Formats: sequence, C-alpha cells, structure tokens
Amino acid sequence: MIAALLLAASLAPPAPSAAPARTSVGKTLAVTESVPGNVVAVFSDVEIDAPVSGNVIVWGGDVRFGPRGIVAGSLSVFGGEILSMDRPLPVRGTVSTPGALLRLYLEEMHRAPWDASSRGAAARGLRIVALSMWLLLSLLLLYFFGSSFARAAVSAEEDWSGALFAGALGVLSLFLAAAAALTLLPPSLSMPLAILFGAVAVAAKVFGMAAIFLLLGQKILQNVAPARRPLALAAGFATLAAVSLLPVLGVIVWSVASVVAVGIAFQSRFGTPRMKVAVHA
Amino acid sequence: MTDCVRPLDPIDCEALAASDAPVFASDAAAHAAGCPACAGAVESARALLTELEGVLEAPGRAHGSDGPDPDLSSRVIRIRPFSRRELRSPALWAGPVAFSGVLFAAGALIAGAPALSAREQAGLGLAAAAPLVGLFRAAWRALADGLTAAPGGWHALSEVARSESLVGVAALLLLAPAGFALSRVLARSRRRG
Repeated sequence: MIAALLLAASLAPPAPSAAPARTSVGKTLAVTESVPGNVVAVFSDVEIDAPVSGNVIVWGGDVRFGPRGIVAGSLSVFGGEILSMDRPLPVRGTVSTPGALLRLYLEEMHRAPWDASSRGAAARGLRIVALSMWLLLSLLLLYFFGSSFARAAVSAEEDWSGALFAGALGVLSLFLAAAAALTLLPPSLSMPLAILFGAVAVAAKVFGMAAIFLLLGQKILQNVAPARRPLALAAGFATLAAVSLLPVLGVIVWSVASVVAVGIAFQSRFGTPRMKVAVHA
Repeated sequence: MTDCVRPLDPIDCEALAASDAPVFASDAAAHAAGCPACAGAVESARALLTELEGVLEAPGRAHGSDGPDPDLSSRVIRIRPFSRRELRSPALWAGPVAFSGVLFAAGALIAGAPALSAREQAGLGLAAAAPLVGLFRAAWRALADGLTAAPGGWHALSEVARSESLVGVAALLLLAPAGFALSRVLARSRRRG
C-alpha cells in the first residue's frame, strides 16, 4: 500500500497554483478583509466579518458571522456548527451542515437551534434514537452473519489486549494512509482512496461493535448457545449503551470500545473461519 | 454404501441442514430434494445440529458420558450458524427487536416532548407523530445536505491538504512502522488461533 501511494504520488501532477484564497489548518481563521475566492478551513473555527466572494468550506470547526460578514457562494460546515446569530444567515448560496442532525431536527421542530434547554433534551433523545439504530443494525447483521459474529466474539475473548492493540494500530494506519493520500495525490485519486479507507474503518467498527455486544451479553447471560445470541446481543448492547449515556465516562468507554471493535474485526478477519477446507479432485 | 450415484459432500449436508449455502455443489438443495439417500444425510446432519443445541443445556452432564467432550461441543456450539428453526423463531428475535423499537420511541419522545405546542397536544396521535416526522425530515435533509456538499467539500479538503505535502510525507513515513506493527499483531493472533 505504501509503495502504491509513493508511486502514485510521484506520477501525480503538482498541486495547482490556484489555491483557495484563504486556508487554515488547525488555527482559528478570522476573515476581516474581503476575500476574492474561497475560504477553506480544516480543524479550525472561522469568524467571517468581511465579504467572501467564493464558497466557505469548514471541516471540523464552527462558523461565526460578524456584522460585516457575507458569503456570496455556498457555506458548508462538515462536523461543526454555525453559531447563533440574531439575523438570517448572510449567505447567497446554499447552507449545508452535513452530519449536524441536531440543528436540522430543531429547525424541523420549529425550535431555535441555540436554545440551550431545547438542545439538551433533543440531543439526548437523538442519542437514544441513534442507539436504537445501533441495536437494530447489529441484530440484522447477526441474523444474516450469525456464525461470523460468534467467531469474532470467541477471537476477542481469547485475546482482549491483542484486539485493543490491533484496533489502535488499525485506526492509526487507516488515518495515516488517508492523510498521505489526501496530501500527496490529486483529488481524482485521493478522494476515492480516502473514502475507501473511511468505509473500511466504518465497516470494521460496525462489525466489531456487534461482536462486542454479543460477547458482553454472553458473559452476562453465561450462555453461548446460538439460540441465546439475539438476547445476548441485546443484553450486551443495553449494558454498553447505558454506560455510553454517562457524562465523560460514557464517551471514553464508547471510544475505547470503538477502537477494540476495529481490532476485533481485523483480528478475526471479519469472522472468517481460521481454517479452509481443501478440495481434492 | 449409498444408493446415490452422486452423494453430497458431508459439509454440504451440514450447510443445508443449517440453511446455509452449500460449499461444493451449488445444486445440492435441488439434488437432495430428489434423492432420498442424500435427503437422509441432510436429515442426519440436522439431527446432529439439534443434538448439539441441547448439549449445553442438558442437566447433570459430566465428563465421561456419551457424546462430544463438553469443551469441544461448547466450541462447536459457539460458532455454528443459526439453524433454520432459530432463524424463523419469533421467540428468539421478537424481544430484542421490540427493545430496539421501544428505545427508538423513547428517544423520539424525549427529543420531541418539550416542543409540543398546545395544538399538537390536543391530539395524542399527532403529538406522538410530531417528533418522528421531524426526525425523518431532518434525517432526509441531512442526507441531501451531505450528498450536495460532499463533492465540493472533498475537493476543497484535498486542495488544502495538498498544500501541506510535508504532512503527507510524514504520514507516509509513519505508516510504514504502523503497518508493520499491525501485520505482526495480526500474525501473532493467527498463530495463537
């Protein structure tokens, strides 16, 4: 994979000189003078207090408007928020906040997205709805790939530390590979590659989390019979979900479980059997 | 001896018994349907699976008795697929699925309850439906948002990232030891298995 990335990077054309007019990585970006092009920020907050003639695209940061701030193009905020203001958004194009379900939900319910009491209740409710989706998805996967999850659970039980280590290294490797692809390859190559790495990480997490639910439930019920798998999965899920709702500790536990989940998926090769049957003619 | 000129592989018999796809003969199910000898073999495999299902639950079971060793049978039971009966049994699946439904409804109510207006509260059905409708509309909008903004967003991210090529080289250099360590960890766990 590394050799392929190096080869592709060496063959790729250099980065175009027409870079976005204002960019920032990891530092708050304050727009106080007119910007003729786009504003792009990664892991940075953006404060717009001057006209921007292009688009504003923010990854992993919040956007705040000052009294002179106006965007002629579109505003896209990935994994962040558009912070409160007491006037309509001064954006001529479209405004999108992919991944920010809470703001859209509050808008649909005709509630002010910045109302703290509404946000708290709605966020808790949406979290529980998301957890119910987790359980339903895990049950569906268990229904169609029952023995794969059982094998993955056995594998995890035999080597917890190995699963944690494999998960940490797996997440790190995928992150580094995506970062290398994004920074060294042209968009036509880097985008599909980054999406592929992301998809592998998501698939591994979903598979591994269901295996953790199953293993935890089997421990709670002290029964590993296939007929008890759905109940065991629900019991394990209920335990982990309840912990995940605790402040601070819940986030830590769920994050560690996610890393272990990726490790379980890689370690068990998504629950494929360890031995293959040789076919002799 | 079997009366069949093309007897099914025992693994295919077990696969059919567990409602899985056959490994060797793709037409194993059709063949078994028309061949009494192979249908008998599948039935035997199904009986064995049923027997294994009950091994762990059997009271007073001890070492030295007939049948598979408890440790081995436990391992076989743990990783065997669901039988056809288990897949179709509402008693197995209804509880967890209902739990998921209850959780969904509770979440939707918590998310929506403070927003119910007097007019909405006048009708219980409408009151219950309001947060669900809001949730589905918001989810739909979030999906549409993502699909609309993703191409431009990705392109912008890539443009910014390419101006930081030093980060890419550093990531590539770190990827080598991380990937090597991952492969060693996975190889070690496979050796253990």
